[in-house]
Amino acid sequence: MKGCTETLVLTALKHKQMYGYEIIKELDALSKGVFELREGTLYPILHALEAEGLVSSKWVGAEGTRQRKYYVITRTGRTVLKDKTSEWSMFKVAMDQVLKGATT
Amino acid sequence: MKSEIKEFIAQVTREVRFKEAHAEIAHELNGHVQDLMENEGLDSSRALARLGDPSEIGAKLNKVHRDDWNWSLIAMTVSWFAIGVIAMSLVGRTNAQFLYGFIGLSLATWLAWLRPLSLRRSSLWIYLGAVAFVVYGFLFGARQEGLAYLWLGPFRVNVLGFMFVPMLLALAGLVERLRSSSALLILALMPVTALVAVHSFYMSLVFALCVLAMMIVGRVSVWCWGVFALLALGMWIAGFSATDFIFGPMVESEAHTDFVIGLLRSRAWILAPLVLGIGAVMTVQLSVMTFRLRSPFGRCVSVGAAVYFAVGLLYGVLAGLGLVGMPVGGVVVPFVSYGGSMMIGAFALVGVVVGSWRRKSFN
Repeated sequence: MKGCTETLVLTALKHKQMYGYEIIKELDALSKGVFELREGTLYPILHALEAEGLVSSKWVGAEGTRQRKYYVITRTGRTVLKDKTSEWSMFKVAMDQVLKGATT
Repeated sequence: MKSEIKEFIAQVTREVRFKEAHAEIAHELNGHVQDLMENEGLDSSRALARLGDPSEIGAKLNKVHRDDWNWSLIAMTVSWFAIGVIAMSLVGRTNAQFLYGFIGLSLATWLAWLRPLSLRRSSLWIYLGAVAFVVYGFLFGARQEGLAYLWLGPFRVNVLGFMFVPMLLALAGLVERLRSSSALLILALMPVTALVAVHSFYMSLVFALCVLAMMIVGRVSVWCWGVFALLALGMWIAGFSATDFIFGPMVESEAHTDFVIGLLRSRAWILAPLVLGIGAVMTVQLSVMTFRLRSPFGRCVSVGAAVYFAVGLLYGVLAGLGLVGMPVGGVVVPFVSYGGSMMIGAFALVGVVVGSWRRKSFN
């Protein structure tokens, strides 16, 4: 299914704003280690989501100290996530039916 | 930064052609490596291995961070200007428009190259410079019908008109820097007061509307822009009801600013829908861009330009059709009316919007 990682990232950001490293940890925890992402590839995904207006970002921390770029899901992002979630449920039901049919 | 990490990040950014995006990418990736090393006790090479292939990351980032000159906006600006020149020459009112157009385009190109960040950072200086220029003009310039004029080389400029766009740009930066504060309120009200004081009916209206739109889009609090709107309106009513404006025309309108009227009544009337059409499309495009831009400064300039163009067109048309009985003097149809300052100013606004659009993928 297209846009799988994007959907996972949006899900991770659903409840709070996070910076890149935190998102990796969250994805790891949510999927219980099943989805292992090359951590660097998270950033092109985040930047593309931001360009599409699904997340927005801001730098937090004073200059000179450790600064982190926090990402937060936007309203458009929530709508897209909702669509993706229902799309996935439909896909899952259909897939289950096909697989069940194949075994019986 | 360790040389190994530096080399990795350099391999990533090498793939990203738009160099201005490099700094932010480097900063973010370095932060991630530091987090891996601190939280998980990894050494730098293991941390880097977790990130993956640098050139693959870079290639993907390159697709997002494109140097995106907004050619449709540029093309529309140039054609709006070109049609304006043709229309004005058909009604026999040409001036040094080509010269102004050339200066305006050069200025816009320079502003599109310039990082909006540096413009935003110097917003207070631009503001103070504009105030100083206006004060100097009113003290030492030639006075005529309440306005002040200065000679800048071969050009005779109306000091308030000349500072109109720089002041708007400065306020766009100040909206982001000062947020909702009484300082912003005072700085925004000063130019409106000055324009009302010289009885510049149209300019004070447009300026106040532009600043109001910038405050709303720049997420200034409701009380702040509400108070601004109320005070500007109050000042406006007080300023203009005190004069004989309700009883008769106040400012003698200059020939070129009656452009739409002149155009509609001449053989060039066929060009009027073209001018209005391009203007309308451009206003819509600028409004859409406002919401797709992320930097508050870029958003403010973009919405300011949209309001400036929309009010100019709308007022020009309504006055031309005799639907508004307000004084027409000083109404500026952007890119068409041949007043040099406003023409160059309109180009400058577009230049800053294009510059912000190019860098919309990073902060």
